Amino acid sequence: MRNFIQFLVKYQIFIFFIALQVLCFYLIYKNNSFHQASFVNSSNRVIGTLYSWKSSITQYIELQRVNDELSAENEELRNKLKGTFVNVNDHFVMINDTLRERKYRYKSAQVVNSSINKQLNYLTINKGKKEGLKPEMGVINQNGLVGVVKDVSEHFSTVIPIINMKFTASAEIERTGSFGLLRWDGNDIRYAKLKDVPSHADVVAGDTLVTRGASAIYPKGIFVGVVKNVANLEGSNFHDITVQLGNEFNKLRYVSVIENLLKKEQRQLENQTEADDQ
Amino acid sequence: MINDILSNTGRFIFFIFLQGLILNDLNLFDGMAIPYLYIMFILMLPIETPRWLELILGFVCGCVIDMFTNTIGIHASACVALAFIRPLFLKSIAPRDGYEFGQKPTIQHMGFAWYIKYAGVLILIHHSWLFFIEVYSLNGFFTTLTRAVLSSLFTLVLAVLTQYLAFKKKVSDFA
Repeated sequence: MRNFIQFLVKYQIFIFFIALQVLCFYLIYKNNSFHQASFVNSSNRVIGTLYSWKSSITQYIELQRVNDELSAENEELRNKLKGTFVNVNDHFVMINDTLRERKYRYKSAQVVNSSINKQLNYLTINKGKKEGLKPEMGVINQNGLVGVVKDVSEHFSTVIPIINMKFTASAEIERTGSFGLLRWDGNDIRYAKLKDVPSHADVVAGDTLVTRGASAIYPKGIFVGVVKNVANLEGSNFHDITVQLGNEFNKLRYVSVIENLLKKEQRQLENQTEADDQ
Repeated sequence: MINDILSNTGRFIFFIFLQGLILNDLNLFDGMAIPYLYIMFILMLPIETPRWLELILGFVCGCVIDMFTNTIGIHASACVALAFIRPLFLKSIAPRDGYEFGQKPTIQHMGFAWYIKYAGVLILIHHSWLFFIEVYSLNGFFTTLTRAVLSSLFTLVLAVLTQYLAFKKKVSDFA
């Protein structure tokens, strides 16, 4: 016993060091699980406020580019206005369209902080619980897919963008419909990989990649990027596909968060089916 | 003593804000080199800091940076490792008759060559620890190693510059 106490006294600093390391790794591990409600992240109040101050200064620098983007988007939307179309055939008048039900609702938000130089990059946006955001909502902008909401606080949310190694989404080639898993390999923020596409599938460079809408997070057909390169690894049954992403993640300013109003119903049904199998 | 506490608290706040609001956005070669200058706070702690206190300060400093980058635990772990190794390393590169009381681990006190050795090795240890925990695997070992080495060089250059620019006044105090 005395030897043991002597041992503890002699190596107390080392034991303290190990204890702190264990604590750190516990925190890392805990934060690793998807959308764990961790209270220490940049969606917390203090850091979020700091970041919105910073953003209020830096956004002036980008005003020119943001204005260009907004006016381009305005132009596109104006082209879709009802007023720009002439009725070719006015025999029919549609009243009370009960064939359609609203499935997605969009909410625009501003990116107040983002990182691009790490393996685990995150965005912070300035909308939170108060505006109805919840974890696992999809995030897009006019250039295509951005990511998925991770944590929400009262006024801020953090987003896992495509350029985070924990991000995955189901995506398909628009031309053929063959699908795979979109993942980032941690190297270049301009490119991501499409995994699990069997090597017999017809994919060529230049094909458009869109979301598949399988997970009830994003609608089907949101632009992701363009296939840049298709390589066939010897001995592998899958294509090695490099995708040039539609978004430039170092220039993100405005995004839209998508709420899927029918998500709960879809999830419930899928869970029930899975439960029946067991 | 009180002076030490005040100046170190000031440095803590200064480096945290500098890192969190400016340096995290700075990178060279497409994200291959990122400066993590905030560890200057740990590197500039007095030589006679108690080891338990140094470990706690390292943990707190890392945790605050983690809050900015959403990577809870990663910076904390690397900073605790740095805080553990620093006193051992300081002892191993001590001058022949030990450190004088009140001597600080800065260029002004210890000279340029000593500082490059001191800061270079500790920054490299911290950055390697950080980057390898961040990728969480040994896949792409050489990519991660390159990132760690390039980032260390970047941080070291900034560290030396900071010593000459921000803390220059200390020279006249000491002389």
